[in-house]
Formats: sequence, structure tokens, C-alpha cells
Amino acid sequence: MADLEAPQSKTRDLDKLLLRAGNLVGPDFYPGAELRDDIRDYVRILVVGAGGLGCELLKDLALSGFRNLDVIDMDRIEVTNLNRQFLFRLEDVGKPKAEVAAKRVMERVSGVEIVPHFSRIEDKELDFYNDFNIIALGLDSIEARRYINGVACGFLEYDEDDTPRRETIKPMVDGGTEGFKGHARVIVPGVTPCFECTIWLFPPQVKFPLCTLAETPRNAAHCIEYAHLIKWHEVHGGKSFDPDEPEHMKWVYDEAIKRAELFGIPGVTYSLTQGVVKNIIPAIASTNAIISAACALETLKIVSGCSKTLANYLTYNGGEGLHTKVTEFVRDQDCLVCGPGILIELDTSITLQKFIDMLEEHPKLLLSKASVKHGKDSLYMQAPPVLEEMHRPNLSKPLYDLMGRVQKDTVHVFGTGLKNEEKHSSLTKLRVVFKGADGVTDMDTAIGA
Amino acid sequence: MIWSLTMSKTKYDRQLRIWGEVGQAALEEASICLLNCGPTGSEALKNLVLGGVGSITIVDGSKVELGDLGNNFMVDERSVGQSKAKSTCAFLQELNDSVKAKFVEESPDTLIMTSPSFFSQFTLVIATQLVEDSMVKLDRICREADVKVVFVRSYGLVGLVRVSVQEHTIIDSKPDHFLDDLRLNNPWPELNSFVETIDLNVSDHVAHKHIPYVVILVKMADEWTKSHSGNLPSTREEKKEFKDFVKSKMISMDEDNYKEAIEAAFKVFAPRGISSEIQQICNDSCAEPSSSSSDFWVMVAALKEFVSNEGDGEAPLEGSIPDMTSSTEHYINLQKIFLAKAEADFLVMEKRVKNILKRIDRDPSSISKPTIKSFCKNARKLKVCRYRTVEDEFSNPSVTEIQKCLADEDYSGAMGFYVLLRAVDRFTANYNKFPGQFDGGMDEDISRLKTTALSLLADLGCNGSVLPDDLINEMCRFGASELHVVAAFVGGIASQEVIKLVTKQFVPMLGTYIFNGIDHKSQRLLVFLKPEAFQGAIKAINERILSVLDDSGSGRVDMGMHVLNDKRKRVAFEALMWKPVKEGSSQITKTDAEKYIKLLRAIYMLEAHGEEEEITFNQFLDMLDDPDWGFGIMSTVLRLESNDRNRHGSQVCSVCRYPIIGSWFKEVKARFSLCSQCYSEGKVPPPFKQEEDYRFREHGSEAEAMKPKCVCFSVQSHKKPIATRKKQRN
Repeated sequence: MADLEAPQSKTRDLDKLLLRAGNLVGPDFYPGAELRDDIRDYVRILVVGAGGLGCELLKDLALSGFRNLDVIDMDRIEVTNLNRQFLFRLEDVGKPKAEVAAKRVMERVSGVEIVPHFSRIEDKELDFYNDFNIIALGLDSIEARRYINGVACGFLEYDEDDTPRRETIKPMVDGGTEGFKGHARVIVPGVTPCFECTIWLFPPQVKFPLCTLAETPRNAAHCIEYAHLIKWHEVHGGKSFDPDEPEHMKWVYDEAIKRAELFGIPGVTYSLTQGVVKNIIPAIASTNAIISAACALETLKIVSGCSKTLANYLTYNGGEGLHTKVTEFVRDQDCLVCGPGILIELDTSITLQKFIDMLEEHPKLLLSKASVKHGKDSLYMQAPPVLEEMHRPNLSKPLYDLMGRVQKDTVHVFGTGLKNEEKHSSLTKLRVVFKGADGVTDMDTAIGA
Repeated sequence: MIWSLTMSKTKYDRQLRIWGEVGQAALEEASICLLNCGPTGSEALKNLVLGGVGSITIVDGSKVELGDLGNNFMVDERSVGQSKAKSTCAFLQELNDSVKAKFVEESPDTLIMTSPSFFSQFTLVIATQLVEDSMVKLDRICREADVKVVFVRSYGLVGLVRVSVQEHTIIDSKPDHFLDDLRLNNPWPELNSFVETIDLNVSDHVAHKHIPYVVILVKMADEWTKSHSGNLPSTREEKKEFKDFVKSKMISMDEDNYKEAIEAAFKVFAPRGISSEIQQICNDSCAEPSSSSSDFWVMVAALKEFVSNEGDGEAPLEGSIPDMTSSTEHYINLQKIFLAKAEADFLVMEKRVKNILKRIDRDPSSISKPTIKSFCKNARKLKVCRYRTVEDEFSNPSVTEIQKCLADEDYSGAMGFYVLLRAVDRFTANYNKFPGQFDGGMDEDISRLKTTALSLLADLGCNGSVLPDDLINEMCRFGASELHVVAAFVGGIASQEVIKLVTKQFVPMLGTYIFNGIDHKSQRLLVFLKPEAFQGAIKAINERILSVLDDSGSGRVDMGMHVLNDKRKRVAFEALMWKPVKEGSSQITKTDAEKYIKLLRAIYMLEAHGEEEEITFNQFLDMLDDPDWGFGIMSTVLRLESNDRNRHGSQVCSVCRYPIIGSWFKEVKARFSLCSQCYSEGKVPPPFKQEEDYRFREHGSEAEAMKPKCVCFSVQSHKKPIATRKKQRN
């Protein structure tokens, strides 16, 4: 390409997009050097996960005008990461991913500040997440996505007419890959569907019926799962199986081989054993690069308005030919996570204990072992024991008092929910309104009904 | 010890699970040349270096500038003023020391002009950020040297990816979904004799519910043909009758094997013999072997002989069977019978391959056993991709197709940017800068680019076509900027295509991919393909599209395709052209056409002409031959294809009555089923009340929906959700 004299600035290319007016742009696009500088100086992005997507996201964001990044990941680097997680080298194996990733990007992109958090996402205070303008998700687990989604949607507040309050919206961009396929999506809580609204998008898990494993195994995976799920417990009793413990894996492999020989089933290999037991998802650099780039581009667009935004779900399939497709999903208005919340009317005399009991019976919740949080204050916590004990005295106090005697407010309850006859961890938003409270506000108790 | 894998096996574990050791070996033998190592090129190369490509050679004559630090991760402050190729090469080498990394400090444009022979040493060239003139020249050089090329360009928020190779043949195409090779409609003697040893009327309940469905269906198909003068079920009524017949053999409702048999009954009705796509490959002129034939075409020649001799119309048996409810013993026995037949077919094929090699004066053992074995296993999935030269694409475009795309809501953006990417090169040739490259004179650049684009369109013969001003303005705003994220996206796609081309697995993209970073509504423009490539592509999906002809309730009919818009109707017409033909005939059977016309009359003719209109088979063929009905639908077909893969046996939507394709929503209590469209529109079947709350379980596949009730272990930690759709507000 003819390379003519270009202005000598590090933002040579980005400036074209951020400093120039355009026709196909977002409604809040105010081009100019100030926009570029604000993105650099004030916008804070959290990257969740420092794996295949996370490494790419950090690089992409650092080269898209963002200066203030945080990254959180609880994992350490493994050899199998090196075929795609390009910020890691062989000598980094065993070190925390977040720390190495942050260091490498800072070494190469001067001026960028990346704060690593070698931690579980659940171990951070909710406030930690509220500090960021956008959360970019580079995760490989549905549970972790649900958790972050719940946290981000937890910040969302609604006006009395159920319209989301703009300043409380915490946008997320989410990517996911498997082999040659992937997706990138934009979640603007209260505006576009959240993760929970479209949870059905995720493919069903692979399940083997117990009777097949125990009685009629037909293939290698059945033998492996027998060794992993049945035989291990028979032999080792209470000792839990650790997939990262090579001795455990070898034991399962040996047992699977024995079972396969017994039934004349071919195909048990150590690699397949690992794949089945750890549910390994094949992953390659190119797909991660594509999906992360789409996520980083959307992050820049949400922040700057410099172009239209993805509405709202991009799928990519590069196996047979090349297919990309945008689907506009719609919100579930009754979503427990991003919706306006479940309205609960209570007497001012209801104690916290009684309230927690009610949650278990509430048809929309069926929430047991609930912990309750009001704003920043924990009202009750089931665990750890030391905190449980600390909050126990609250149980006998009226919730109305604990919530500062306001006529209505939002509480978050966290516990074990029962959905589709299956238990799962659940963080839910409730809008509590106290009947007969002589609140100084003039809101009526029928709000949101 | 098996569990102590070598380091490299461990390092590549996650990709070995995709393309295997054969694919990895191909990657490690490949020698890749990159032209221009801006972010687009270096990001593409990065993905290949991580994966362990054999060697890379980076060609770039420029020095690192300050501006490069803002979009390219491969260069840093220390490299400013130094060779960009050298700096990039050093960083890439750091990523994987088993890759041989070299660089040439030279402008690619110069190299293309002065040293065409340079390129013949490579397996593949990734050509990034080239202007039109260099693209055409490089393409010509590489075609002659039999070197594959992937062109990539990022330009502001748009980009382009284009593969160019004379011919790419694939044995292991790894389709996502493919009908298993069970031969239920055409069992061989050994399978028949095994089936005979099993008594369907066994009184032991446990034994009865562990008879694999393959046995049930072969037995019952045999019984059926005996009472139907040797014919398998063919009409809708017969097919239903057959399924009821299978159902009648159930002795209790919990017999999963029978449920599987009913779901799989369509495999009995499926046409015998090879698909039209494989037929077309066999009919290709390359399938007449000569001393210059590639191994692939030698094996195709053998396949052709096999099909018309030992195969009796069929390809070699694949040899594997899917998991199914069964006793271990029956299942293992079945597996052995399938494997034995596959092995026997392979031996015949091997002999034929050797004979052909002898005939064309080649070493009879020059094609290895594993290669022939892989060919036999994948004989139903062979693919041939051919690409038009860039020069031909640029100088002989299909005018009507450009116009059609520009006028089409879904394609105008992609086609507009395609034309503009060519227009900016012309602009550069005239004005010695890209439009909007510098901050001043934007208005002048916009009007100049507009004039340039219109004169380009006129030169192409598209008089009167216009490009939206918005696109022209955006193009000038982009000012030839190379944004990192756009570069990473299109570079990523380029590396994905390289992997497919080098490993000879999966299927590389056809056409020209136009990335649209504005709303992500990117498109592949296929109008630039040669007619043969177009046909190849449409054939690649014919099995699915053809299902429009199957009005049998087998679950393979996609009536949804017909409704709503003109494009879908065209798809329907096209579909008929590629009906799998029986016994090698290349004609469409009249009965198929008539059956089809009935469908069309119901859906199309009424709508188009307001009244029923009889059309004859010949009129119909005339319509098919009309060029206006031909091209331009490909992308629609492909888009449909990607959505319409997932079918659910014979499940029909309780509201629209169309077979359910894609997501299947089943109400938990009332147990009615909805297709995703009716689900999303909030419909419920007439007997049910609109205002009630319903709980739906969504099923990805038919197998998912019929999981047994016994306790299940979960392999993954996440749970399958139920989507709750409450009464509609308002």
C-alpha cells in the first residue's frame, strides 16, 4: 500500500474514527480529541478471564485507546494454554494468568495500566465490579457468566415506571468459542437481553444415564464415566476426585481400560479420558482472536458511539465455509435478573428470619439458604461461619428496621434456587415494599404491580 | 508411558482434538509467506505461529513509525525506526520456537514486480493490504506456481477476505451434521444375517428394550417390503403407516430403543446410492485419470468404478455407528459387522486404486493405505472447491448480480463496500493518497470518491447504479486507517482459512467475505464465483435443501423456506435442480417435479398470480433455466442452511404445522411443541389460552428431548434451563 506521510501520533489510526464526524454512528457520538482523551483517562474496563479470549481482549482493548484495565482470573498457566494464549511462554507455566497477562501487555503497550486480580470472581466485593464502565467477559463457563451477569444486573435500578435508570446500567460484552465456532454479544442490562434472558441459547450438556454406565456401556466415554463417576466413589469413598491431579486421572484411565476390556469396547485413550472427565472444549487461536476482536470493537463503540452497536448477538461458524450472522434477541420482561425485580409486599413487623423462610416458599423464587444484602450491607450471610455468626442476631429483627425504615427498597438475595427441579446458585433482586409504613415519600404501594 | 505425553503434544492438545495429528503434521510442514506486517498481517500470522506452522517468511519494506505502536502489538517503542518485518519476526519467534521465522526487508509490491519466482517456495501466501494492481499480479504468479493465496484487507471498519487457488480438494471435510451411513434402506448380507439372529418378539422385557434400533428397522423394513411387492415406504401415508407399524411392536412406553427407531425411520426412506454432489465429483472431467492426476482424483476414479461395480450404487461403507440404546453385546456385534464391511470395501478400493496407478504408469503403492482408508471413510463427504482468478473477478464481473446486490437490503452494504474498496484503489492511483487519509479536504475527497466509484460502476457496465452517500462518507472518514480490532478480526478469519487450506480439513470459504464492523452484518459475496463453483457450493448443501421435496413427514422437509419472500421461493426452485437422482441419471424425475409443483402452486403461484395456474414440467424447466432465477440466491441458501440444520425427527409445530427446524420449544405441562418462530411470536395452539403462563423447555436436538427418565450424571456443571414465556404484556 502506498504509505504516504502520516501524522506522527500513536493514535494515527484510531483518531480517524474518534475525531471525525460520521453518518453511520451512535446517537451519542461527539467526535473530537476530548472523546479520545476521555476514553484514555477516565474509562475503566474489567476483563473477566485471562485465558484464550482474555489475553486477546487485553491486547485489543490496550490498542483501542483504553488505558485503565483490570483483569481477573483465578487460574494458573498450563502447558495446554500455549497454543492460543499468546501472552504466556513456557517459563510462565504455573504462574497466575492474570498477573503474567497484565505484565506482558504493559511491557508492549506503553502507557497502559493493567491491574491483575489473581482471585475468584465470587471473592470480590460487589463494589469492585461497580467501579468499571464496562465488563468484558472472556469465560468458558456458563456458571461464571451467570454470576457476573447477576452482579452487573444487580446494579441496575428502575424508575417507578419500570424504565431503567441510565446511570445504573453496567454494559457487558461477552464472547465464547468452541473449535471453529464462536459468539460475541452485547448485553446492556435493562435494554438488551441479559445472559439469563437467553440462557436457553446454550447447548444441552452431554449426559449419560446411570443405567447405561452401570449396565450397558457401549463406547469408550461410557467406560471412562463409569470409572470417574461410579468406580472412584466405590473405591475411594469420601475422597473427592481432582481432575488436575495426574494420579487421579491415571487411575480413572486404568479403570476405564479395564472396563473396556471386560466389555470388548475399543477406543479408551488417555487423551479421551482427559477430554471426557474434564469436559475439554477444543480451542484454537484464530477463533479466539476473531471473537475477542468483535467484543473489543463493541466495547469501543459502546463507550464512544463511534459507530452502530451490534444488536445484539453475533454467531460465527468457520468450519464449513464461513458464516457470520447477527440475531437480535429480545428481553424477557420478567427476567429475575435484569427485570425490574420481584415485588414483595411485607408488613413492617416481618423479621428477617420470617422473610428468609418466605423466600423458600415464594413460587417465583423457591430459594433456600438465602443470604440477604441491602445495598452495601449484608443483613444475613449463610457462610462463612464467622460471618454467619456475626449476622445471626439480625434474624430476629424486623426487616423494616434493618433496611433503615424506608418504605420501599431493593434487596438482593443469594441462595440455592430450585428451577426445573434442579438446584442452582442464584442471586436475585427483590423490590420490597412495606405495607402501612408511614413513609415520608408519597409513593403508593401499588408500584410495579 | 501413555500418560506422560510429549511436551508438544500437550502444548497442542486443544487443537489436536480438532484436526488430529495428521492435520498438525500438515501444518508443521507448511511454509507461509506474509506480505505486509501491519496489524492485519501480523495478527493472522500470530495465530498460525501459536498453532505450530512450519515456517514463516515476512515481507515488508517499511520502518516502524510511531503510529504503528497504536495498532500493532508486534512492535514496541524500541522498534521505532527499525525494519517492521524484523521487529514483527522477532516477536513472533518468541511465541513459538519450533517455528522457523524469517523476514525479507522489501516492499511486497516491488517483489511482485521484480521477483515472481520468489513466491514458488511457499505453500501459501497471506497477502495483506495490497491494492488491486498488486493483487491481480500476485494472483497470476501464484496460480502458475500452484501456491495458495489468501487476500486480506482491513480498511477502517470494513475488511475483505478472499481465498484464491485453482483447485482445493478435501477428503476429511468434517461436516457438522451428516447422516450416518447405516444402510437401513439397503442392508448387505452380513447385516441381514445378524439381524435374523435377533427375535423382536423376545418375551424378556429387558432384552426387548435393548435391541438396537438398527436391528429393529432392518427387520421391519424387510417385513414391509415383503408385503409391498419389494418396495420401501414412499408416500406420506406409507411412511406414517411404517412408523405406526414400528410403534405397534413396543411393549411398554419406556422403550427408548423403539422411540429411537421411530425417530430414525426416515433413514429407511432415504434414497439409496450416492448423493448428487458425489455424483458430480465422479462425473468431473478430472475423474478420468492421467499421469498428471493428483492422488485425490485417482481415488475418485477408483470410487467411480466401485460405485458402479461392487458398491452397487453405494460408496464404500463408512464403518462407524452412532451410539444407540442397546445391550453391550448387540452393540459391539453391530460395530464389528459395520467395521468388517468397511474393511472389505476398503480392500476393494485399494485394489482399484493400485490398478489405476499402474494404468497411468505410477508406482502402485504411491498412495498410502491410511490415505485410501481415510478416503473410503469420507467418500460421502468429499469436497472440491475451485476459485476464479482475481483478474477474472475484477474484469468480468456479473453486472446483473452487482446491481441485484446493490438493490438488496441485506447485501447493499457488503456490495457497496466491495465496490468502494476497489474505488479507493483507483482514487489512490489518481490522487496519490487514499480518500480521507489526511485531515484536510474531506469534502473534496468525498466528492472525488463518489465520482470515482460511479465511474468504476459505469466501467463495470453498471450504469445507473448508485452507492449510498453514507457508505462513501464512511469510507472517507476511515481514511485507510488500519484499526487493531478490525485487523484482528479479518486477520483471524484469514488464519482460520489458512488452517483449513493447509490441513486439507474442513471447507474453506467461497466467494469474497466483506467484513462490516459497523453493525456486523457482514456478507459473503458469491456472485463473483465461476458458475461451476456456484454449482459446487449449492450442491454442497443440497441434501438439506432438497428436503423440500420430501413431503413425507419424515422431518426433513423445510416448508419454512418457501414462505415469505421471493428469495426463498427461488431457493425452492433451485432445490429441485439438485434433487438426488436415482441410479446415476442426471435428469429430474417427472414425478418429483409434479409433486413439487403442487407445493409451489400452494405457496407461490397463488400469491404471485392471485389464482391457481397450471404450469407444465417444461414451463417449469424454462423457469429454472431463466438466468434471472439462477444466481443471487446462493447466499440466501447459505444463510438458511446455517439456521436450518437442526431438525427434530418428525416434530411438527403445533401452531404453524411446519416441521420444527432449529430450536424446538416444548411446553412442560401441556406438552405442545412450537418452532422458534411461533415461540418468539408468542403463539399457542388454538385449544390453549393465550393468556395463560406456559413453561417451555428448549431442545437443541432430537436426542436431547428424549433423555431417559433414570438418574443422569452431569458431565458439566451447568444446568439445562427452562425458558419461561409469560403472557404477553399489552
